Amino acid sequence: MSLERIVAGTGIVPSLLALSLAFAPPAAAGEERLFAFFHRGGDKGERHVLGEKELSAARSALQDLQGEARLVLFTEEKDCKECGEAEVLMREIASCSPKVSLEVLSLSAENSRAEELGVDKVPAVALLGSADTGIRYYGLPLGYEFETFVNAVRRAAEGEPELAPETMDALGGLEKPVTITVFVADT
Amino acid sequence: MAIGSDRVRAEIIDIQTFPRITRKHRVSAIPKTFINYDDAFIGTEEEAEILDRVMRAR
Repeated sequence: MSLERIVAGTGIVPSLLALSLAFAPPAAAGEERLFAFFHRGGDKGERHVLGEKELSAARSALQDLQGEARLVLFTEEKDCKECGEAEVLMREIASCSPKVSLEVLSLSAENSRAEELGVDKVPAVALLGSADTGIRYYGLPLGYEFETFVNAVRRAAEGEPELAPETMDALGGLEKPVTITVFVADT
Repeated sequence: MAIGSDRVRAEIIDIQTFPRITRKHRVSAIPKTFINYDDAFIGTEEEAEILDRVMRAR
C-alpha cells in the first residue's frame, strides 16, 4: 500500500512550508529562499501562495463535488508568522470549487468556536463536510502535503473515506475517542 | 479513519511551525504518528496495522 493510500485512508495529511510573511520584518538569511514562493501577482496586486500548476491540480481534484466542504481557519494577528500565508492559501483552495467554502476566525476572539472544534494553536484548519471530519491541520499544507490536503477536502465533501470495508466495520465498534497525531515536515 | 468514524480525530502538525510541541513529544524523525499520545510509530504503516493500533488505543 502506498503512502498516498495510507494517508488518504486515514484522513491523515502529512505537512509543509514555513513561508515568511510578505509584510514580515526583514527576512533572516534562511527565509529569503522561501520568500520567493510568496509573491505578488496579477494586476490587482493580490498575494498568492499557489502557482498555476497547483491551482490547476486543485481545481481538477475538486471538480464535480457531490457535497460541500468547509474550511475553518483559525488565525491570530499577533505572533503568528504563517497566519497571513495560511489565509491566502485557504482562499486559493476554496476558490477552486464553488462547493468549498472558507471561514476565517480569530482564535482569541472566537474561543468558543475554537474550543468546540478542539483548536488551540494557529494557524489551524478544521476540515468539515456535512459533519465534522475530525481532521485538523496545524501549519501550512504546502509542498508534499498540498495534494493530500486537497484530497482530504474532496473526501470531506463526499463524506466517503477511502477505507477498506473491513476497516469501516471495525471502526463501527470503536468505543473510545482516539486521536491520531501525525508530525510532518515539508522537506 | 477520521472521516470514517466520529470517534476518530486526526491532527497533522507541521514540525517547523510548531517546534515546541515537536520537542515536547520528542519527535526526532518524521512522519511520526501518535495514537492518543501513547502508542507511536515512525514512517508509514498498512491500513490494517493502523486500524489495529486505533482499536487497541488506551
